[in-house]
Amino acid sequence: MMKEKKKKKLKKKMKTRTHYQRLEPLHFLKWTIELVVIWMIETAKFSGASQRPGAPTPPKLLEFVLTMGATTPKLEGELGCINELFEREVETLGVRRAKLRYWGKGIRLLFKIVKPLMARAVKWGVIADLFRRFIP
Amino acid sequence: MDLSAIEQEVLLAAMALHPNAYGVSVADHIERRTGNQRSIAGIYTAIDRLEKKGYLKSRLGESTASRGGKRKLYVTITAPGELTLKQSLLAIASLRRGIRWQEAIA
Repeated sequence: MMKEKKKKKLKKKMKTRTHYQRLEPLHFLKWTIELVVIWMIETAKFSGASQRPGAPTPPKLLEFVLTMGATTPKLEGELGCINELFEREVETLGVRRAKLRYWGKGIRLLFKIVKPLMARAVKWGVIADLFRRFIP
Repeated sequence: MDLSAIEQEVLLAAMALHPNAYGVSVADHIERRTGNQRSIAGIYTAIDRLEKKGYLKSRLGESTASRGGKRKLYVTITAPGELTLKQSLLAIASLRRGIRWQEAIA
C-alpha cells in the first residue's frame, strides 16, 4: 500500500517536473516577438530619417524595413548608397520621382535581404521536420 | 578566371578611385568615363562576386547624414585581382590586334 502511494507520488512529481521543463512553442513565439520589438526600437533610434530634419526623406516605411534587414556591412553600404542617390535625385528629378526610384531600388535590395533568410528558413524547416518525424 | 564587363569596370574604377572607391563613386566614375549607367544593385552584385573570388577587399568607412547614417563600404583591389584584370585586358588587346576595321564590316 505504501509502495503504491510512493509510486503514485513519484509519478505525479515526474509529471509536474516534465510539465515545467517542457518548452512550449508559445514561449519561443513570445521571446521572438519581444526580441523583434527591442530590435525595432533600437533600429528606429538610428534610422536615417531622423538625421535630416527639414529635408525630404525617403519613404519611411521602406527605409525602416531596409534598415532592419541590412545587417551585413555590404547591405548597409548599399542602403547608404541608395539614400545618397535619393538626396541627389531630389535635387535633379524632384521629390516624387526620387521617391519612386527609391522604391524601385529599395525593393531590389529587399529581395537581396529576404533571399538568404528564406533559404535559412527552408533549411531549418526541413531540419525541424526531420526531428519531429524521427525523434519521438 | 574570366571577368565580365561590369567586373572589369568595377575593378578599373576601384583602382582609379583608390582609396575612395565605394558604390556611388564607382557608378559615377563608370558613367563619366564610359557613358554606361550602372545601377547600384548591379555594382554591389559585382563587388560581392569579386570579393568571393578574392579580387576585391572591402572595409567599412564613415557614415554621413546624406547617407541616412549608413556607413560607406570602400573597396580595394587585391594582388590577384590586379593580375586577373591585366590578363583580361591583355586578352582583349590581343583580340583587337590585326583587325581590319573597314573590311570587317558587312
